[in-house]
Amino acid sequence: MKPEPQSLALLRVANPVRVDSLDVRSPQAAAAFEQIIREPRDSEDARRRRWSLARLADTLSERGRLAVGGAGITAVAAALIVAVLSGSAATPAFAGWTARPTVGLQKQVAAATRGCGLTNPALVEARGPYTAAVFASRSGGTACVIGPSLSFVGSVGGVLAADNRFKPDQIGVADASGSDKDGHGFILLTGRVGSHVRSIVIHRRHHAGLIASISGGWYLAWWPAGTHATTATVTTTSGRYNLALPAGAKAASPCSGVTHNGRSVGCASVGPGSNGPGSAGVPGPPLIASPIARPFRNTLLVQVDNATRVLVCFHPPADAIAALQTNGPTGPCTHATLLTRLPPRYPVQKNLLEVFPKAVWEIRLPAGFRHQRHPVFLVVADGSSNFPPDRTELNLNW
Amino acid sequence: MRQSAKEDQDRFAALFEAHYALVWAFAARRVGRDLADEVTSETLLVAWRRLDVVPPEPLPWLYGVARNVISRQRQASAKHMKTQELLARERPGRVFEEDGEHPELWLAWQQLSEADREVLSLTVWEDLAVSDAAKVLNVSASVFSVRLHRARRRLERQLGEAAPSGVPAIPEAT
Repeated sequence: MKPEPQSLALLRVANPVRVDSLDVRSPQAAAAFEQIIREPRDSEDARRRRWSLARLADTLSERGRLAVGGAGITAVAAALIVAVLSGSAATPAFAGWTARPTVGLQKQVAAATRGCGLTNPALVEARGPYTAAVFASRSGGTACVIGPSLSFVGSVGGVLAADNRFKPDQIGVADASGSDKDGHGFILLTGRVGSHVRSIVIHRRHHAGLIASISGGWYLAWWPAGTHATTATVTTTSGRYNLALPAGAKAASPCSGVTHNGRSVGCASVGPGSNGPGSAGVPGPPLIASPIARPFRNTLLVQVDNATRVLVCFHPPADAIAALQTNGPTGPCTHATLLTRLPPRYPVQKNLLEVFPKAVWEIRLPAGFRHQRHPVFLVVADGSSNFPPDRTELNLNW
Repeated sequence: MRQSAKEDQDRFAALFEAHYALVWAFAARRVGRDLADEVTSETLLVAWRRLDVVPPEPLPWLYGVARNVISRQRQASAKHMKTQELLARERPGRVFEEDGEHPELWLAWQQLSEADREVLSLTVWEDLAVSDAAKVLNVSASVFSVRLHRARRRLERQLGEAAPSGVPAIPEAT
């Protein structure tokens, strides 16, 4: 047997994730197992329906959070949708569809349960002859729209497993597009809603507001393609803010249908979100989303949305919010810097600020700061006076 | 004839216990620890749904599914893809940097293509034989050997080493 080259031996030593340190009996693993075995096994029909199942971790305001102790970023809401067409006769483009939904009646709940192949929907709504539903599960959910010439089933994945990590003013945004049998396109938005969210109105150019249905911790709205949806107004118990909608939700033209296994099916797409200050006119609550990169030992780049100030406390004071209100820096705290351009010294992707516009903050770690000795430091973000500051503890072992 | 539900569940439980950590580590090395749970769950869910087609030696098959799951995630959203690229590119380097022992490896790794990193990772970190690693990428063992040889040479070049010429010093296909 030949000896391993030095380069590979070096690489082996630097293995970033060692399997022997992982515990297959961890609570996360046990929960994953229990969840999986409750899922139905594939039938041939289900395989056809799931021809393009995918998941996306992308939201406007629902972001992963770093947990204390390096537990990692919690999964975030996401979606992707698979459209499957029924074989009924062609109809005009979503005839009878309404911008204001009605709560699903018992017969519509039954129709959704039967048509979508799932039980216990969290949300059922009707827009004219069309019934839409969201079925929740511990890991996510399934969105479904049925009606004349349309049967749409999709997976919404990666939703926060623990509701108490989901901020009460926030909504997760996942968009998808599909088309009916005749190629008429539609756009769908869905996601989780925080407990303080009272209403969501989708604004489309040259159209009246579109009311989203909210029920069971979820919301859903869908509309015929061809109209630009620009923003959503989220009303909470403490105020109101606007969100810029993902590009997919703004799509004006219906997607072109594709064929799979001899059946005509709709297409699906998910657009990127954006939530930078000013992107929607009125910024949402400040949100410390996640670290992005550590280009140098003493420099950390963190994504913080909707913040006007970011304060970093390396030895967390008893009340960091008070430290923020004293207009810091005080004691062990210092200000982070909002990057408006990427300094050429950074060996990170040049499009960083395009990915996170107005949301990349640079944290300079003190000289001699060692994560072994100081594993956790505190970040506090202040934003619009309409919303309380956000705070989180970061661990350099992320 | 289809196995009973109980037999299916027992078989899947054994598969889960034997491979959960391996798949999780595979995912964590590529998309980071924070998204590894989701990729692992999705991968094993595919295995559960398609238990009938899982091969007797499932690890390369599972890695292949995990690669597809990651690929679909990246394709699903331009923003998400960029985010994941950032995370994936930064994470290994960060580990090297924090170790403080191999900064040259961090720099070299940054310069490699994703394809080079994949064959190196499958060989070194996933510790697969060439024949199994080739299955993950759905290529022949000989093709994988060539890719590995070239990737190793590029790594060594980046490391500033003078790679030996001639026959590649890589594990032989089995």
